[in-house]
Amino acid sequence: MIEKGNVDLTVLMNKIGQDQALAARVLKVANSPFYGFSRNIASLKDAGIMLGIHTLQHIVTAAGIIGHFSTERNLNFSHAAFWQHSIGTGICAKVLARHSALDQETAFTAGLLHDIGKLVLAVHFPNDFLRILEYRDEHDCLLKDAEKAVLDFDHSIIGAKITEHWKLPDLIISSIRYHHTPDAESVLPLAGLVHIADIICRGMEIGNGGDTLIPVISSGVMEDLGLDWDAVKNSLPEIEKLNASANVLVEQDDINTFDKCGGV
Amino acid sequence: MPGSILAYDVLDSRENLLMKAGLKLTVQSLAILERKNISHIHIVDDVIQTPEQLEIIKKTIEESLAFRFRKSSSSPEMRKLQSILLAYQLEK
Repeated sequence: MIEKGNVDLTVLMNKIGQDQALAARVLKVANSPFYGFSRNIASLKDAGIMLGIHTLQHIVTAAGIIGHFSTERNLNFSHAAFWQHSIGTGICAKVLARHSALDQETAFTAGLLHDIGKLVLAVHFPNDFLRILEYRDEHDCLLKDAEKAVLDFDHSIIGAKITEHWKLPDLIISSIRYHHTPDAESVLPLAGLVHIADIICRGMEIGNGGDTLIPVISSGVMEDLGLDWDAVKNSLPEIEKLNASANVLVEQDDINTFDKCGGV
Repeated sequence: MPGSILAYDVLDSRENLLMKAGLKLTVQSLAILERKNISHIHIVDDVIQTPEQLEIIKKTIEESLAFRFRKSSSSPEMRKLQSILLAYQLEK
């Protein structure tokens, strides 16, 4: 429904309203300081009017996917740290999108979901994931390199496959697929933006996607996006401020439960 | 809050050292404190910062960044990013 891009607000509201947990989460996010509305958004209808259908579509996507994984666990993986990193990357992509003339909401969703393949691995293939963690620790390498060594492919492939299955927009699927290789031929700029956002978040230590290392920025990506270091530098306070208000996307109860499960 | 820096060492009920002053708190370390029933800690904002404490903070930030960038600092772009993040964090 969201993929088609021409969603009717009333139809979307009715669909959300059928899922109480999703509706509650959407309202919670809509009322968070992240969106900066001073008035209380009390109903889905108000949320649609205040935020606009475009933003709402992205909130629903984010809330739905986070909710989908909120009951699944892997004791070797800190879900809270994972989502903090994902949200942070989404925020960083959103803030930097302004400098690259890319759509901010799409950038947020792409950043939020860029590592979703890792979560699929951790939750649904725990034995393989454990082997990957062991390889990473033994070789002091990036998680993606450990994944390639153990599985012969990495989380970006899994993430692209699952988001394709969920019928997310091609632009988001492509940015997930190429966020580690944005300099590959014919890759769209959004992948480069997510690539940079991921690296900045790792540098700022916002959450943890399973690495203590930071990948190198692909050459030419900054130029392709029209980004310069001053823009990055000046964006850091806003990224940090928005990040402090955005954790409402992950329910506090989920974080508490996840934290008690241990960490990466 | 994750990101806060411990002002003093944290000890358990048997006086064993759990975390050293200067540690930057993460979600994981806060969870450990909760599991150990540590209900109160002092972070640097709570106390007047002495030059020694400021030096600890600076050293912690530098070491933390150097650790994360340990395999990427040969790239000029990454060195630039590291220096921007260091300046930003020290300024804070």
